[in-house]
Amino acid sequence: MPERILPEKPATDARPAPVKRKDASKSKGKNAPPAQRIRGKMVLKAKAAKPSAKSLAAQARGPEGYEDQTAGRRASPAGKGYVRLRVRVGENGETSIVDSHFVAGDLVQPSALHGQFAYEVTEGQTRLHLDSIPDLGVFRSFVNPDGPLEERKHHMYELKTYDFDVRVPVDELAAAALSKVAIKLYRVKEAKTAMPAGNQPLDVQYHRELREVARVEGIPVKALPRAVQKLFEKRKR
Amino acid sequence: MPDSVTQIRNAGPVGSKRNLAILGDGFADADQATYNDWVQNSVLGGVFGNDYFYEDASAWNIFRVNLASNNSGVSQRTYNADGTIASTTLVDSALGMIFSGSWSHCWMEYGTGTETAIQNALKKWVPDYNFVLIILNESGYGGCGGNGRAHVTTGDGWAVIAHEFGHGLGGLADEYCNSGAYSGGEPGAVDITINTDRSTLKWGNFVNPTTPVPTGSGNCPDYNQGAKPADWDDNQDVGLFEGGNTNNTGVYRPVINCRMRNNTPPYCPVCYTSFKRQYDSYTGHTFLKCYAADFNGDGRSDVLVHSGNSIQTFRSNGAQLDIAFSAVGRVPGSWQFQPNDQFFTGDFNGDGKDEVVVFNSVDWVMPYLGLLADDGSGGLSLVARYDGDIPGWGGFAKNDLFYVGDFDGNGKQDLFVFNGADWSMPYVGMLRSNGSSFSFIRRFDGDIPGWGGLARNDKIFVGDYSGNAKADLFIFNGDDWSMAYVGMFQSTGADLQMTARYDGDIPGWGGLARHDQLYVGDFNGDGKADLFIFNGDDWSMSYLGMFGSTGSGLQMAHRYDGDVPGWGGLARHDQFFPADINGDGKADLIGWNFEDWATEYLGRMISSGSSLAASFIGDWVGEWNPGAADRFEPCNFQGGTIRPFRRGSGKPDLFVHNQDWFGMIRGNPDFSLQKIYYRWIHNYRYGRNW
Repeated sequence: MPERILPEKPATDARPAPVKRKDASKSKGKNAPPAQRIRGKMVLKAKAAKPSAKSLAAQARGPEGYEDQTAGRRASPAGKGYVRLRVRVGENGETSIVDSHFVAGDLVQPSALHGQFAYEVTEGQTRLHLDSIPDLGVFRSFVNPDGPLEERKHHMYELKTYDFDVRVPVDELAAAALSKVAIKLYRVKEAKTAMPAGNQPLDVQYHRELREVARVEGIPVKALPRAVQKLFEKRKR
Repeated sequence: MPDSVTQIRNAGPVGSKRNLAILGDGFADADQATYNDWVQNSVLGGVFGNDYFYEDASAWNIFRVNLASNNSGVSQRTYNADGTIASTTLVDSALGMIFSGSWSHCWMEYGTGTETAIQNALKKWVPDYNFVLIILNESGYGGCGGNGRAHVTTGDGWAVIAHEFGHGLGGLADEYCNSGAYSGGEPGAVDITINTDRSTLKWGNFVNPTTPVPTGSGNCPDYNQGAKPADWDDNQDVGLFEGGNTNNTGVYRPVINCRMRNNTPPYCPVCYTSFKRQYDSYTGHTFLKCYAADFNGDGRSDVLVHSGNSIQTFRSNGAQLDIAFSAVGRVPGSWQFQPNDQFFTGDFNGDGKDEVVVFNSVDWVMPYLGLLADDGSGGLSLVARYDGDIPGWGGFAKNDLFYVGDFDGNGKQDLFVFNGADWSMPYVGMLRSNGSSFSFIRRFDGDIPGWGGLARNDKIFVGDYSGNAKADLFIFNGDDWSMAYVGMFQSTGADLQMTARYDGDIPGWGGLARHDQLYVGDFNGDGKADLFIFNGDDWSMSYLGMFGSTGSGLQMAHRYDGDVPGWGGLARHDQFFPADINGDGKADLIGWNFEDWATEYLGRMISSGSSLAASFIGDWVGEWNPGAADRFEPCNFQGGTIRPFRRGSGKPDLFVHNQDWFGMIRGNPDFSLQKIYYRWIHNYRYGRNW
């Protein structure tokens, strides 16, 4: 494409040549032409007037402040939502899904692991979701600041059974073979400064830092919320 | 009273945030106010009103579940010395919890139906919770935490709960000492270790090389390896101190005294950073929208950061920024923050501190304009709001553009507003501030006399070109007519009067052109706002002109054809920011170009009053690597003897920011980086978070 040749500016004391365009020039002097029309519907502002006492009163504020701003029409939450599963870990490490429900909206996938536990939902080598669990499987009594020395620390109670919550996007779940979906719970044995989630399964990336403590192999359709079960029933047909 | 839920903090959709469910037990109908107050004071004001949780408020939705108990208070149990139950007094409470006040029984325990009652309440009211805080209507001290829950009494202080949240939400270990020696392997928690090797220490990046490692050795000591430096901060200076995890020896903690040791101090840098990293992706914070303003009137520019539905302000002490205010969802008054809020800062009440005007014409059913002012404790609250209109303006519209300027010269900044897009004709309005509200003063429908017609692409610039302390207007239009125009409109305080119109040229400029860019600044220091004009598009070379104000017109002082000496060549995509870089009362220009050359350039063009002398720095400013994503806010974070604020002057420094990074660049004597922050603004005593 040929380069556009632009003119140089005239010397500072020379008169400029006006730019050639089809538009109108502004009028000289005080008799201005009608204001330029803007394309579209002819919508004029209301005639300017001093604000009335009534309109000023409409802006008045009560002692507790203004009422909430009024929301316009909002798009429904993006994404199809996610399933929340409550997984119970028994005394011998056995697992079961004890509850589930559907949550509308998008689910953020954490980019790194933190805290003392983490879970990962996978189908084979494909990750469906993961998250960190800061604190699991114990209860601590608060320190007794006025008590004897042995009570000036937490009293720890290991729980024989405990639950943790797992989230997984419906889209990811719907595309997976439920029988091949696994939920793995890991204990962080040795925290590194940074543990990015990465793309590979956690047990591949962090085989030294993580220890698997419980696993759910396969998710029964019946363990899913009714609304999500329908997705799988439809797929069968 | 039926059970209900109140979302006391709405940070965003539950799947993109962390969700705290608060359940009350033993609160009868008559106790609901007590419950509400306790949650407000201890959870919102206490835990979420301090250090980490205050900063990252936007990561947390908080749901207060209002469960009505039939009895006031909770069941009570006492234990014999041998641990057997001495007595139990059951009452009918919503969750059926039993308080014992016994440390060895976790101070409290579940009744037979408690777990089911908790599950039912959560499923009904907060189905996607991440953490549960259960509050007992019991004045005795005690608490039991773990497994995603914390159970506390109304007798517990917020600092104790914050410590417990360190475990429950942060996965942090205790850092206090109690007894015995630790004999396990390397702990998984980030804040305790058995490693004494500086080179592999997991928090080694926060340990100053001059600090001995270990720093404290023995039976839970403080600093005992050499003399403790005079400026050592027991909470914020990081080393390696023996004792932690409740053990006296054999394990180490990062600081002498953290919230994980003594409840009341803030989280130490190691714990704070762990929290920040853990929940950063839930905050929605970025540095894309930053606004410089002096919120406390100390002469130093602070910064307001807006992200989604949250704002934070950070105060400058001349060398760094520190958190001053954090709000999510709304501020008292109320203004509810949204992603498309536009912010304008200025001293609208003449108190020497900057306030904030916020306008949103996108996210609500109608446009809103709000005025936020100092709430008396370093934060902001709404003092005036206009819903859809300010009487006389005829209705706010989507493309209303606001400009700050004290057009009546009373020391309180006012607003000009222009709309060239939404109506059948363009409008200009003048909205006067009385310090606590705005009132409509004047509207120009389609024209300001003499201008010959306001037009869609009129561009407004504010500056006191007449030197009478009243903000006037320059208007430029290069698009809508057969030639480009510049108009000068002097404020009378309640009206605008055109004093000059330049049709197609300002003498000496050689022709106004479509892509002329105007910058307002008093480059000769005479108290009258002058104009810089740059054009990099319409001619065979780039031009920069300096036009001094005569008080009613413009007189060219200098025209630079293709270069300003020292800049190395004006180029098409040069951008400029007027600022009094050297503090001599004359507006200079900061030049910036990231597109036209092999590397990026940031330049200083110092005004002599009638000409410019330039210098530049290329590629890096200290550790800051300038790039296309960078945005600049001229400011004065150093403070000092700079002339009082006038548009285009008194701003020797720069805030530079993009998605993840924020920098403080000193402009004088040369550009140099004062501070650089990644993802969050925090001043580590040593080390950094990247």
